[in-house]
Parts: sequence; structure tokens; C-alpha cells
Amino acid sequence: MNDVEIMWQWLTDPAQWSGPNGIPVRVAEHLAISCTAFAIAAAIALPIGLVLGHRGKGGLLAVNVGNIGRAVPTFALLIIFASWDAVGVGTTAAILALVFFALPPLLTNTYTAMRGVDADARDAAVGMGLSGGQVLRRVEVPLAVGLMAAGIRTSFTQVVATATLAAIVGGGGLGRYVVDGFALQDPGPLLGGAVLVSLLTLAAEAVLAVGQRAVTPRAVS
Amino acid sequence: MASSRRLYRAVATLFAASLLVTSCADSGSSGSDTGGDGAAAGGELTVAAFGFGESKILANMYSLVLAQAGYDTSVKELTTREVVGPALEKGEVDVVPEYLGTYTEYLNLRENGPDAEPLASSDVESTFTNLEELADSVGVTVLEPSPAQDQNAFAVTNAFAEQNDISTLSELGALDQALVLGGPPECPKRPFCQPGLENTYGVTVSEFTALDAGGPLTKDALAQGTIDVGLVFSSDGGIEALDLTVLEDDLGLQTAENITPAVNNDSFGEAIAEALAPVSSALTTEDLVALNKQVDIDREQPADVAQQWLEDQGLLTSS
Repeated sequence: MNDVEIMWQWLTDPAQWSGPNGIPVRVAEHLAISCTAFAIAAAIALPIGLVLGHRGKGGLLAVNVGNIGRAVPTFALLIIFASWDAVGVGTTAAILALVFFALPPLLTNTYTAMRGVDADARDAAVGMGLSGGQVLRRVEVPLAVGLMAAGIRTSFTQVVATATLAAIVGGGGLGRYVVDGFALQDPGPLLGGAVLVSLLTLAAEAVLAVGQRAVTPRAVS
Repeated sequence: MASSRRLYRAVATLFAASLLVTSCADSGSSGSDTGGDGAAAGGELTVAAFGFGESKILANMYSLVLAQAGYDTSVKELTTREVVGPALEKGEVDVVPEYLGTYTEYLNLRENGPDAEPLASSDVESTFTNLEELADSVGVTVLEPSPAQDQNAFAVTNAFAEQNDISTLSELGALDQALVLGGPPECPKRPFCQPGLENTYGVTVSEFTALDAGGPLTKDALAQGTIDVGLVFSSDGGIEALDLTVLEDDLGLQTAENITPAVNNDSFGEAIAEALAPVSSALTTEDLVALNKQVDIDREQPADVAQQWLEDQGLLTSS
């Protein structure tokens, strides 16, 4: 039996689909880790990106700080958080590391989207007597939302794929299969876990692609 | 002006791309020429290390004395036995500092099926005799074991030990308390890890957290209270400093785990045995604890620690 057959047998074994180490539980854990990390990152990056983009000041700094975040290996952050007593090993360390991983594309895209809004449209809105907040809400965000959604899509998809790392520090999720399968050199969970992560990532990508199209105003796209 | 700048940029890009291609090609070729014919002294030998400090120290010791014996040696840092074992049998690596009992049972279960009678015990001689036979059937030669040992051990925090007044694993089992166990991902499947703890000592494991093999994550998790019991190594140099207590293996669950060099048959030569024998016979468990402390706690490099020890023992003529 070759590795692919072993993987297929593992994936189709009913025992894999129930219990605390079953695939449904691991998928739920994987999504919980990804969504929590992404929600925290979005709560930080979106307001900062919007405000800086609206003001047109300090953006270069924000984008560069975001890019430094991109240069720090998520794996290193993960180990640092896990060894830090205030966080500890497990899922929390993984969520924190993923927050830092999710921030740069969100921040950069939001800022860039806001700066990409046609200056004439902004000037016209100001000329019509709209306040700063009104310009942001009624003109800039509707025009920028398409590009912002692209950032959200990129960021979330990457987070779902990378949440696999959580298993290295004793966390849950689909990475459990990959890490345990590797330790035991068992191609069933090793490859099966990798396939499940890929499928979940593609599914997230597909859902967000539809979402992105839905929120992008027809005139902009 | 604009066109010359464009030309310059194109040339620079081409140059960078060619650098990238050649460097990739280089690493590809140097990566594939491991293994092969080390039968005569002077061949190439790759010494593999498991994924923890002690194994890296031992691999570096082997590498240094084999280099002194005229081999062109390198150390390859790998991870678990499930990775290292097959690599040794295929000749992808040539020499491994193995552990007597665990290696015997690893081969026993693979050769004789998952329900095979244990061939490793706490007796060094009989375990080694069994191992020689098993190793031969997979194309590996094992050399005389060192007196130095590193057994799997289970640790709790000092506070936990004092609070429950326990010092042995039997007493841990008698607590009749559901415990969270932490260790390497392969622990739930290993007879001397979780199953041994449950079957031999009657410990109730409510949950297993997959961390590392006696590494920083397991010890951190113990200190953090995320796990109650953690798999550590008996030769660990940092256990005391972290306020951890190793519980005594009073029913002899763990087998003799003397350091035993394992060599691929195709690479094996008497010169290898002669080079490694003095290292095995000089090394003691106390040495291991001290050397591990230098690497795990004092953050020295495994290669430096290995070299220093060999020089102190007079096994390496310092260059």
C-alpha cells in the first residue's frame, strides 16, 4: 500500500470522524483558533488603517511597522509565547502568534485602499460640506471596501493555513494530525492532515472571494 | 538615459536570478552526496542526532573522533527515531548515537509485530544481545554500549510532589487522580511512555498534551501548571534548577538505556568501532548530566561542549 492509499484509508476510516481526536473536532478547533486570531487582528488593524488612510499621515510608518511584522517568523513568535509563563503552551500562544501574522496584510491593504480613493471625490465631498467622519463613512469606505476586502481575504486565508503551527506547542487544530503523524512517521494522519488543511484553506478562500465580490460596489469593480 | 537605466536594471535582475539558480543547484548537489561507501577509513560519514541537546552532543563527539580517525564527517540534526531509524537503514546517515532499550523495542515492534514480547529489559547484557540480532536484520551494526544511561523519566513540580507526599511512580498511581500528561507526540503509542504509565503504575491520564521529548516546552508546561506530569530525561541537566522532581521508576518500567553507537552495515568498518569504543567506555551518566547542563542551561554549543569533553578525556588531540 503506498502513502496515498494509506492516507485515503485514514481519511475514510469512520473512527477518524468521531471522538475528541476526530476530524470534526479538529476542524472546529482549527477554525476557532483562526477566527479568534483574525478577529483580534482585524479589531486592531482596520481602525488604524482607516484613520491613517483618512488623514493621509503616518501611514508610511504604519505600513513599514506592519512589514517588519511580516519579517518576524511566526514560528519564532509561537515558541516565545509558549515559553512565556504569562501565556503558556497551548492554543493561546498560537492565537497570539497568528494575530501578529494577520496584521500586516490587513493594515497595508486598508491603508492603501483608503489612499487609493479618488482625491476629486474626497474634495467634492468636503466641498459639499461633509464632516471628516461623514467623508470617511459615506465616500472613502464605500470606495475602498473592495481593496480592503482583498486584504481581509488574503489575511484570513493565510491564517487558516498557518494555524497548523498551533500543534507544535501542544495546541489543537488540524496541525495535530500533521505533527503527530510526523513524529510517528505515519503517512495516514501526516498526509491526511495536510490535505484537510489545504481543503479548509481553499474553502475559506472561496467563501471570502464570494464575500469580496458582494461588498465591492459594481462601479468600482 | 531612461533606456540605459532600464538596461542596467535588466542586467542586474539577470545577475541576481543566475546567482539564485546556481546557489540552489549547489545546495542540491551537496545535499545528495551523503551516505555511500565509507567502508574504508577516509570515506564520508554522516552522524545523525535526534532532536535534543544530548543527542547533538553525542553526535558531535562521534563526528570529532571519527574525523580524527581519518573520515570526512558531518553532523545531521534530525528529529525522532521514526525519522532517524529508516535514514540509518537506507544509508542516508551512517552513524547514530542510539539508546539501548528504546532502539531494541523500536526494532522489535517493527520486525516482530505490534504484539511482540518485549526484548528489552533493565538488563544491559541480554538487551544488547537481542539488539545485535534485530539490528543485523535491518542492516545495522550496534557497538558495545556505554555505561552512560539516559532513561525516560516522569517529572512533577516540587510543589505537586510535596503536596501529595509522593516520590515514586507507584505513589503517583495510588493517588487515583486524573492527571494531564505532557510529552512528545509519539508518547501515547510508546510502551514505555503513556501506556506503561497507565498499565504498570495504574496512573489515570485524563488528557495528553503533545509537546516535545523532555525539551523546554514540556518543562515550561510543568512549571506553568498546564500539565501535571511530564516526560523528561533522567540525564537532564536542568531539572533541579526548574524546581521539578523526577519520580522514581520503582517497578522498573524503563529499560536499560545505555548510549549505544549504531552504524549502517555498508558504511561499517573496524576503524569506526575502534574510534568510538574509547568514547563509549569513558562516558558516564554523571558526565551526561553535566554536559547537558552546559548545553541546555548555559547555552553553550553542542559541538564546543563535545570537543571540550573529548580533550579533557585525552581522546582528542587538540588542534
